[in-house]
Amino acid sequence: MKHCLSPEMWTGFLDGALSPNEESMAEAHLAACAHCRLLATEFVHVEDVLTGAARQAKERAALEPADIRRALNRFHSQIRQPRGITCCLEALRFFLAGMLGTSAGGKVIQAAAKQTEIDEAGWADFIGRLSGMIADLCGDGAGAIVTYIGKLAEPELA
Amino acid sequence: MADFRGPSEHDLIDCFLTTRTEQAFSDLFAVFYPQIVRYFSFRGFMNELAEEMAQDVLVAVFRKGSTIRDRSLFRPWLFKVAQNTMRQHLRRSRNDPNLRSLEDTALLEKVDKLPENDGFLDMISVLSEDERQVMILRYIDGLSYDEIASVLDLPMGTVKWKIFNGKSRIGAHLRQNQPEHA
Repeated sequence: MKHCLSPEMWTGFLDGALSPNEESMAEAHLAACAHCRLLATEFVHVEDVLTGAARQAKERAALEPADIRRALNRFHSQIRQPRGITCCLEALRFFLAGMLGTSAGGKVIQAAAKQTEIDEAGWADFIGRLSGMIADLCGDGAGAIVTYIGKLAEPELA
Repeated sequence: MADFRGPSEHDLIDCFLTTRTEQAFSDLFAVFYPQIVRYFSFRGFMNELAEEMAQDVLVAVFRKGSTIRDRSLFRPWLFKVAQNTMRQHLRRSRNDPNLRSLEDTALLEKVDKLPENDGFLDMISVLSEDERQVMILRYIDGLSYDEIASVLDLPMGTVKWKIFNGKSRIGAHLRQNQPEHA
């Protein structure tokens, strides 16, 4: 597409972000150039269409307040976890992503965490349950690795 | 549920950067968590994973928040952490069939979270991958030009050029597909 104003000038002009001097230069050019006047009309139209479509897309993708509240509760329990647990969980996620894929690995962790909080008190139960589930899914060796990774958090918990 | 339309984003960021308390960050969380979930959703991550990754991003931001002092740097930094988290997941999950990456150019048409005939994604599907990234950061994530430049490590002029070029191509596409009037 041919254009006489530079992209930076166009962007600034359409956003109303040009200096007064640049603004008068752009306006003088538009007054003299029919092609750029058409282009300006088209840019304004595209901006309106894009802004409207983006607003609708964001509305459709909006989260429910209850989702945000649940996430905030998870956040609070996560930041109160000792660092050892956080690091071990990260290592477990990494290991299980390799064994089962990211999504399935995450779901197994969630399933193992269903009956107990992942905190200092519930850590051993959680690891025992997760290790059992992984042994069933991927074999005893994989279950033993989960137990081993879980034990790495224990010195900090003791 | 609390009404989150009270203090502005700027006020909340200021409050967290000044006090560094868990309460201040909770208020910030309520505002930014949906934005970061949306960030991942619009880049092809399915709901549960998008929410899990957003959680990881905000925990990392809370823990490393002391490194940020200037309010204007907070949003670009937050989105940069999200971008790095996305890259990390993509590296780990190259062969995970449940995860779709934006690096697959056909992906934008297959995002589960969004309705099939999403107008915005349809419109930007005529653009290159780079241009789409910039347009999503601008129109969906609501970042300013300098924030986009900071997140993508690009000069501001390049960001403006990509947005200008993207709009030109979308304009041409809309013109071509406009119904002809008799």
